[in-house]
Amino acid sequence: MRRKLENYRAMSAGRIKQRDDERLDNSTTATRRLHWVWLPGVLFGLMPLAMTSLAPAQDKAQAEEEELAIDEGFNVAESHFDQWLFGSQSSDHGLKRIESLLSLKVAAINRVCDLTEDQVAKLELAGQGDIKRFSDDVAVVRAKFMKVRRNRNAINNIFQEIQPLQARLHAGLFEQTSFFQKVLKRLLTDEQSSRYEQADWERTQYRYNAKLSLVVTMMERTMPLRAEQREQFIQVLKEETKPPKAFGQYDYYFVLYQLAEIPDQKLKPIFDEAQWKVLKQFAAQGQAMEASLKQHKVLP
Amino acid sequence: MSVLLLMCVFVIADDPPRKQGDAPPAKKSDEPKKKAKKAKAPAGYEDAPEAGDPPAPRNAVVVEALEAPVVEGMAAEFEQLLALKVDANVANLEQQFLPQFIPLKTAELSFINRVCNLNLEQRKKLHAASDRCVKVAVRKWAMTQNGMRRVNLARGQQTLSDPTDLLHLAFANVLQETLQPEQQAAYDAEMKKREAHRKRVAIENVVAIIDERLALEFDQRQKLAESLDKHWQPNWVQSIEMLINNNHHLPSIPDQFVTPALNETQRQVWRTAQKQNYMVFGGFAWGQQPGPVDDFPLVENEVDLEKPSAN
Repeated sequence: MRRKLENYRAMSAGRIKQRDDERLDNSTTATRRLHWVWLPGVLFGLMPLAMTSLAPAQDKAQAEEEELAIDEGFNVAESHFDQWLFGSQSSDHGLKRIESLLSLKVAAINRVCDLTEDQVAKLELAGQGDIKRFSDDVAVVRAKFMKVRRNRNAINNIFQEIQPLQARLHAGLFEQTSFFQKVLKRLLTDEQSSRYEQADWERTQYRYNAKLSLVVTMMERTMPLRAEQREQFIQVLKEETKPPKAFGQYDYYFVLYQLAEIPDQKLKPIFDEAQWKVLKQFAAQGQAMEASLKQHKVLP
Repeated sequence: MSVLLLMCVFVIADDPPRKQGDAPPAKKSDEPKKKAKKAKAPAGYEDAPEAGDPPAPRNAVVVEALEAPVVEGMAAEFEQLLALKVDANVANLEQQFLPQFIPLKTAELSFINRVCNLNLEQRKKLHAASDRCVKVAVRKWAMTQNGMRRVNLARGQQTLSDPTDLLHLAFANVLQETLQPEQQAAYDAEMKKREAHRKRVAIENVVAIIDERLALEFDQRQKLAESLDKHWQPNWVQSIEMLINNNHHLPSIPDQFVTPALNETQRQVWRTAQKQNYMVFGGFAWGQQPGPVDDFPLVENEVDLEKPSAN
């Protein structure tokens, strides 16, 4: 009797287990079936949201991939960076030129102002600070250049970053907003300042007058002038225009821009009607360059 | 089945193939807005030094006018030039430069008319000859450019004439045949003054460039200008337009005409600095020039040129 009971209990347990297993199997299968029903739907439904949240990261990753991608056969040598920036094949040569300019500048101020040894040392130190600041900026752009110099598309962007460095170099590292000028202003006595300003004014005027004559000569390609007209025109430009705060590649347009500001009664008597029409076109060109002149800080 | 992720494929159009190492072209600047009328001095320049002449130089720079061009034999030379069978390079250069010479011709005819006060018959004769004169000038320019591209320029053996000078040389013969003696004299005098002015402009700007690089004193600028004036060679600055902003290279002038004006430090920098001739291959017009002065009437009823109201 007992054995029968035990057998029954075993059989019942087995049947229960079997039943449970079957139930579990069915449940899993049903669940799996359910997954296949709702999961794609959820995925498709959530996909736009996922794309939106993932898009910036994907764009950035993709941009980085493009940036670093190598175009087969395209390779800009590092020396080209130095050529574009310094106009020479090596940065050492370019920096040496800057240092020699610093030495010459300090020597020129010394001749005019009779500087003390202490003043000379401070000026040289300030100039070295300007060179260091420039070199650091160059290093940043050079590092970017080295990353992308084998990528045809990315190299365009780097050249846009080199151009401001070029402009700084051509305008002079020791002018206007440089450490050199700030130290110089504080360093000189009143008497020294007066002598320095006079010499600087003379240099600026010489350079600007030469540029004015050159601009008029260039205008004469399409508006030839008699000698008398030429001299009168240059004289009016000298009286009515001012030199730029820093000379550079926009000097021609800076003169034309100022030409547009000169009152007609000062210029019109010099030219005949046909020449006057062409002159106004030159003035209009100068005015049209206003945005570029402001962008490149020639105009405030 | 692979993960359900859509990838957008972006197709980037390639730039036209460039030579390896060439600098990419700069972007054009944005279209500027029209500006309203402003005060006389640009804003921010109120405290700038007043314009005007610097103190009178102790020794004035005397620029001697150049001699008038030699005209004899030129007509024959030009006919031979036009008769030449040129190679494809020169022919291409002629096609390239002709559009730049035409506005020069227009402007120069107007200039000759102003200086010489031509009558209708003279203007017609010059106009009839002008196309041929332009062809001569263009051919000479193209052949020189083509020759310079093959010659080692560091030896500086080629001289590229100014295009306006080439035009005037080309016109010289027909002007001699057309102008009255007093008109010819007036024209020659104006051309001398123009050439003297161009030489002075070149010298002053070269001195300014050297000054910027070597920090010259007032006396040194004067001494250098005198030396250059005395020994000036046109091939030192073959394109005057290049002086306007190409001042990060020193001009290629022999040391003996420069170093006497310098101190020892400046001489060292001068000797080791990179130099160039300020020459240009390709166009000579700077930027986009306005249309030339064009008043060379060829109609029966002559129109008097409007004279300047006061000089």
